[in-house]
Amino acid sequence: MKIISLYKNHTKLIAKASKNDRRAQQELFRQFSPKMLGVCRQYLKNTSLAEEVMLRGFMKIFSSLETFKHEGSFEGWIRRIMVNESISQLRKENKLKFVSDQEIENSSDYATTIETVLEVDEIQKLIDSLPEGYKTVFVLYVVEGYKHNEISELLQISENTSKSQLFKARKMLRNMLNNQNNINYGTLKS
Amino acid sequence: MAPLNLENNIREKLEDRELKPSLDAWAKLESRLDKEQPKKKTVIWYYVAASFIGVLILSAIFFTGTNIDENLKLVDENAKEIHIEKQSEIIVKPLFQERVVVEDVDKEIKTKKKPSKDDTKLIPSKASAVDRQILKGEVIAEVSETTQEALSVKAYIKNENQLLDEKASEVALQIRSLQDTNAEVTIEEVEALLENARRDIQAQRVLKSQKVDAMALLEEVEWELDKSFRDKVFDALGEGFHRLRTAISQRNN
Repeated sequence: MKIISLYKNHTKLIAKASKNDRRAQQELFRQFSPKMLGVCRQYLKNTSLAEEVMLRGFMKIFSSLETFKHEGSFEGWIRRIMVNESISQLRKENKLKFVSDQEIENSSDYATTIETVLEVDEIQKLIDSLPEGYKTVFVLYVVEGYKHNEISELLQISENTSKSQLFKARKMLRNMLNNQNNINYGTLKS
Repeated sequence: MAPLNLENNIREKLEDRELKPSLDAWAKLESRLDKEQPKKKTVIWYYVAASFIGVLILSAIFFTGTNIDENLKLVDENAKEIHIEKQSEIIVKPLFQERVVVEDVDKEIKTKKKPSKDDTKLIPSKASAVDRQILKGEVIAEVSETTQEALSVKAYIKNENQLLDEKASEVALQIRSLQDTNAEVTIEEVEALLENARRDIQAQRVLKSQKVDAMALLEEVEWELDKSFRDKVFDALGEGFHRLRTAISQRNN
């Protein structure tokens, strides 16, 4: 029942917001902006820049609300807008540089297993330390659930490049975690 | 603790991660939205202007359309008047029509047939009313456009031509006899002969015509000896009468 009322509320809010009802727009912003800032932050280290990109994303959302056909979830729709906006920001900064590498098969073999649950801040630190290209492909693939063909289309790269970027990202993460563990063990020993 | 897949861990943590935006985030967005709105207003004004122009064009088309209708009506009325006038001419002046026929038979038939075609094209609905009027008058029937009547008209014209030829040769003979008896033939004498011939033709016409029309008779009073008859007399006299011809033409001028 709660879900239905929430859905109804969203539909009403979206309808009102599409007619430039400022209160409805504010309500949508209040509900979704924290999560969307989290999305933008995955790609952009700078939090204020991530917020700026998020605001740009909301501008686009409010100006194109009429095109939303309620076919998928509203959150999924605005999330995609935020991802696109973040990537165009990276492209603007000329940070997305991919070197085409040889094909890498079964990159999932390199998926890292850990014994401790990493907290979100730790995860963010790890991801932030990745080069932009690796990080973007990794987040798109692992967090957003994009497939290689979708990533290649979005980033205008080949699927092989997407795969190699993911492989390198995983390898780097594993190394970083291993180093981290070694440090920790060292700390414990001392 | 069981080993965890790092990627699942990352997904779970990052997917639902929420970061609180700065306090003035909404204020920034609102001011940008306010800036965007005037643009939308101008777009609306463009629509208003475009629709106004559209209405203008439509009204212009509408009014010009009615003007065309009015013009058509006017044309229709004129055509009606012309049609009626033509009909009345035919009714009142049958002899005038016949005289034209004497000069050029083919032309006469063409001129009679042409207006009928045009009239039926212009006002087909009115033609029936006029036809009813025509049926009432007996003279109208005489000059109607049927082929049978056209043939009868031709026969009549033939007779008329014969009569004129006969008279012309008669007058020519009389003039010649005058020439033989008198040394000089005066214009008055020729005029008198022509006048006599005209009267004879007129009398014969009246006798031959089965129907008598008061208007036609009145027309005949004013009838002048037409040139074609005079020419026929001169032709019958021969080329030696050039002088007489020029004298008469000079008198006429």
